[in-house]
Amino acid sequence: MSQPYAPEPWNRRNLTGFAVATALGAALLGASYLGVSSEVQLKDQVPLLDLGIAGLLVATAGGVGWLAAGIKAVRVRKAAAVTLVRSRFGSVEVAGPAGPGEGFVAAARLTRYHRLGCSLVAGKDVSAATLAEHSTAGRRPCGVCAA
Amino acid sequence: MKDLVQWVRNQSDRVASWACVGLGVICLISGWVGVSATAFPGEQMPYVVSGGLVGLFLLGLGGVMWLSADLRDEWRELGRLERAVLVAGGVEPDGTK
Repeated sequence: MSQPYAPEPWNRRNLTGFAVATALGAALLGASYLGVSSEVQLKDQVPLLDLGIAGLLVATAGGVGWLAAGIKAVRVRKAAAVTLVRSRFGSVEVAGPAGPGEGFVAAARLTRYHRLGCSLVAGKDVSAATLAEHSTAGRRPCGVCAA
Repeated sequence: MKDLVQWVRNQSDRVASWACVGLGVICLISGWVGVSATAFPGEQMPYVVSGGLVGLFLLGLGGVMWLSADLRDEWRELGRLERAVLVAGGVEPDGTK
């Protein structure tokens, strides 16, 4: 049985942290704007500008933390999903591109070439050839077996 | 029109994200216009904060919301995959056989 998951990748703590950091950042930016607007001299405005920059940094930290928590949760769930699939169906094989030494098969009238085990050529009278020969014959790779 | 409302409801996080990005761009442009209109640094500084910093804040918030929406989609997709695997294996998603 798979463990039950929350409807979102984030928990309440992540949400609180993000909301507090964003609100604090916005508040610091607002305070910075009000302060800078009420001063006329540049030397008096600079510390208040720093306050605004600090607000931006706080909000950025909150956003980065939020995304990092989400990415981590998704990664953990992905690993659990792979384990679940393996436990139900055995190994998980992902078809990748064929190596340079592997041959591909096609019939004379086919416009695509396939891996030998591809279900689209099962029972058909096919012959093997190299990738270059199939390309020369104008054939494209099969979209199912990712030849 | 009904489809549009439904789409906005379904994609509310992405709509909010684009709203933040749009507001951020408006802030940046208006800040630039304000700063360009005066030669005195003391008068430019409020535009730097309200236009520049607030614009960056909104752009960042929009980006975070957009990436959050992608993560939510991936999360839901994993949930669907788990349910499908359990059903295919003869187990109800709630754990009953």
